[in-house]
Amino acid sequence: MFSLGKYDALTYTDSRGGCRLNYDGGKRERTHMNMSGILVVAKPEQCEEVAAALAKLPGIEVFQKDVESGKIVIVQEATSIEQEADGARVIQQIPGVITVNMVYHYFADDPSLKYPSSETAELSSY
Amino acid sequence: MTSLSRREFMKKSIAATTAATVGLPVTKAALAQARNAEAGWKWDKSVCRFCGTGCGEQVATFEGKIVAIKGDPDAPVNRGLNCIKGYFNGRILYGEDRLTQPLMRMKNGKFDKTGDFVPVTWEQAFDEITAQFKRVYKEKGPAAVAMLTSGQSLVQEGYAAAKLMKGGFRSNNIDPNARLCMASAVVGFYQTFGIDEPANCYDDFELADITVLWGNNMAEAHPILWSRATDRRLAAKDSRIINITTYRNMCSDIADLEIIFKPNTDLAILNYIAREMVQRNAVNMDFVNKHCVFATGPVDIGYGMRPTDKFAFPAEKDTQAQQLKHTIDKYEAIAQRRKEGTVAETAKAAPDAHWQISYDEFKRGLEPYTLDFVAELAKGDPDESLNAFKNKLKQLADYYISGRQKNILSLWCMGVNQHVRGVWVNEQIYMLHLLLGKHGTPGNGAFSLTGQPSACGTAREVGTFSHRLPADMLVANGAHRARTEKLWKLPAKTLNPKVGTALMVAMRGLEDGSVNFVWTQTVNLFQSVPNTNHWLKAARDPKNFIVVADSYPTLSGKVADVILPAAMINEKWGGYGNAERRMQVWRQRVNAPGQARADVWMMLEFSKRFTLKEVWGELPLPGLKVDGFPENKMPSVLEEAKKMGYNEDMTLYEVLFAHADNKKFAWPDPVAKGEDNTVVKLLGDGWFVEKALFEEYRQFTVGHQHDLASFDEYYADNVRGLRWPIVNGKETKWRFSEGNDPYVKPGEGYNFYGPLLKATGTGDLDGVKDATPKPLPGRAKIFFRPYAAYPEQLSKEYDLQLCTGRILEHWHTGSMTRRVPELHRAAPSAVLYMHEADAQARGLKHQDLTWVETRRGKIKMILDTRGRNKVAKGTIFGAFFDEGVQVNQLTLDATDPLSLEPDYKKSAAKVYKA
Repeated sequence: MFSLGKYDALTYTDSRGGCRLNYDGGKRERTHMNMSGILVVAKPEQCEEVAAALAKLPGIEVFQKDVESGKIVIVQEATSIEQEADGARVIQQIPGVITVNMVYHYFADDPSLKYPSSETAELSSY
Repeated sequence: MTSLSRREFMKKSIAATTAATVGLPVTKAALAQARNAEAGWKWDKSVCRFCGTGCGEQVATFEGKIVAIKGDPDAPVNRGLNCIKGYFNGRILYGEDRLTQPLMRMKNGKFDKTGDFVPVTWEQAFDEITAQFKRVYKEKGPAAVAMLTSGQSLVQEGYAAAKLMKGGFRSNNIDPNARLCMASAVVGFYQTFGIDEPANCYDDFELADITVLWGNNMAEAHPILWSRATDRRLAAKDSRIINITTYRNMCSDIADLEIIFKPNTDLAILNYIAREMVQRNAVNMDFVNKHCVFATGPVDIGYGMRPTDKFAFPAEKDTQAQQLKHTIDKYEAIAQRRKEGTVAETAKAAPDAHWQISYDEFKRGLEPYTLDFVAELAKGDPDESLNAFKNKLKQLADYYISGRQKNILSLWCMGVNQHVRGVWVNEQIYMLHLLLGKHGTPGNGAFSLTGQPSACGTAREVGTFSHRLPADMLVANGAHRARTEKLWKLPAKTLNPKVGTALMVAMRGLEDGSVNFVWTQTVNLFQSVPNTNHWLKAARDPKNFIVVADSYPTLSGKVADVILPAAMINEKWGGYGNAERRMQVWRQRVNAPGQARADVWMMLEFSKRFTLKEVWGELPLPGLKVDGFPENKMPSVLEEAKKMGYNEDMTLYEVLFAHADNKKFAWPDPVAKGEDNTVVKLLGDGWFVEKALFEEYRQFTVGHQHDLASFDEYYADNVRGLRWPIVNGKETKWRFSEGNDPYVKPGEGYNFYGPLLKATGTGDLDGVKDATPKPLPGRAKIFFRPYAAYPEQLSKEYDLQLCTGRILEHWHTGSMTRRVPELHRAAPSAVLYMHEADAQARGLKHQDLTWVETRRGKIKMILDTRGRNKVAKGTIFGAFFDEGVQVNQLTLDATDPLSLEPDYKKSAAKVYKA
């Protein structure tokens, strides 16, 4: 239709809907550690099942649950925010989950937290 | 510490902070450990930059970078929680493809429209932009230049851009992308209440017994508000949630009642409920008699398309012809009390005209909307029985009429606003609540939600629309212009009285030659406006010059001539106003990368390049015909300016921005608490830009029902935003009701004091009988609005209804690409939801690659027949904000004729295997 020039080679972003970052796997930095504290609210009667399902997901550790209110506190680890967000979406699809709320997000460039290479593969597998 | 033990330490700390934030028990030791993990960090309040909810954040910086974000436990909006979008607040600053220097299309060392993008200095970029602006402005005047801004623009950025365009360049061609999401809500507010912005607030989520979602997929669009609604549903066993939608979505998982309706028939369903209220004597006549009047307006108002098909693609011409002539179908015939087959001459009436009618006329209008009629018209799922659907409609009416002791809250957003009759539907939802006398009180009300973080605070309240001035004033109103000229210290008649180009009109202007210069800020219009194939091509027309200021490369950047790198959220000082009238602020925390700069700095620097004599002399303005102004031109105000002490060689920067009053706000200021201000440093003349602009803007609001607090009050440590009007230091939760709103006097009960459109003629359902303006001080209008069909009905060829919207999974595309890598290569992340039976009928199956085609274009998408969003037969759904898929190449650019907001949700399409 028309030439977009050199700029065509760049990826682009939707600044209105949500500013996506580059998702090209080859370019993604592997040294970041992203950790997030997440509150999962489950239907109280399904709280135990949801907690069990959560514990099976890669990169996720269940820390606390309150069966009465259906509140479950988990920490998710991932190598990028794309993975963090995708992980939260996977959780949203577990039957019995009402809401997934990110509470705390830590993403420093912290070399002491660099993942051993073997773990990178595991963590990026979902 | 080894990396593993450090990780375990961090994880435990994060778990403890998270548990404490959400009110679960945590040991003191665990909390102490969490504090250790954050040693050396500096936390400060901020606001999420994504949706209109306005969640409070705490942002931590360490060694010049943002390292962590948490939901602010003291923020009343979100009480420590974030949705998935919260993840993007911190890292968004550090994307690999951030724009860090101006880029311009160049050949042989100078600007060339056909050249490639080359990095240039800010000076080079401004030189070219200024020359191009002056070329267009000199030849065609202020109507041929446009500034298109955003509901994500900060309050000060919007204020500076609006003042420069309207007060400096005397052009009303400034319009925000909020036109694409909130404009219908605004006109609904104006016409019903005479003042913009909701009467209700988020406290109502915990106070409502019945919460009704009108085309509002809150679970995905406003997850934090949804968590408040669902918390309420679980805590109060008798409370109910009702989901009224055109397709099954996540909200249905919790909803007690789900109603799937056909597009546009919300108009009929609302009238059915009102009719039931009348029939069952449920109208609160005391409230209505004291505080309301009835009103209606013309029916044949068109669809906001162009009146000519000169620019239409051949396949578009039949749809476009509907703008002028529309044949009344069998349902419209009943709903509008007319004969089927009548050819209505549309677009002749002024769409926003309206007049008062009697209660009897109002009831006569409702009469056709019986349960039988509405059920047959509105049933949206072919697999549901008519009886089952009727029962649901009856239940819905029962909920609305469930008595005084039940609180009822109606919520809506894009489903209602992006609608060829969006203003009408807004008005009809108010109709229900006004008939019941349940509006603007704790737990009761019709509450218009919003999509962007400052669509309310900036676009609407500051007034970055083509028809607005700050604090709900209008460019077409002489008294409003005079007040603005006084506050801005402008000569009389500097301000242009002619409404400027709405966003869609500006885009069309690039194609038809009426607009030749566009500067966009924080908005990706060439992706987000419907029917993009037209505008993408127009952007590359050699007569047009496009400036795109943004933080990341966008599709709009690709078709621009200059790309300016913009600073983001915590890289600058600013404030946002959310959907409950809450203004919230933050400090600059980190530096923008490279040469990225704040939009407010760009506006101020640009203003230095214009002297008064270039902009305040006589200017061409085709079509101007207003009392007191010469025809077709803006008068020179230079003589008047000289009398005011200006000279014609002063720059707009000196006159509009760096004037003596603003320079009183000096930088540094104790409110900074050690944080920096790059804008001030770059300008170099020592005034605190963001504070001065805010305080100048605030003058418009105080005493005018929009009272904002002072800049410093918002920055106080214990403040998490305040809801205006703020009178005597007290915020306002509910407007218009006595005891809640400081503008309502004791004994009034209610006072719908909004001043706009308050005097109208009177008549009956068919028209005005007496044009004499009849004032209605303190009253709201209850509108009768009939059902009307949308323009592009299904045909044999285009046999599927294409709806677009925002979906959480595809808000960002990673999840899809990981699941189907082979398809990712063919067409990145394109997903089209379709009913399985429709797929089978076309020989298609789940995950097939398909062509989706409308009269306007075709794109490839991956079929999904198993998604959580279950569309009914005959409907397809494509996600909107996905750069891999230009859904807006397909969508029709019809708009609501009153609000000029596009209807993204009703295009006829066909789907076949790719």
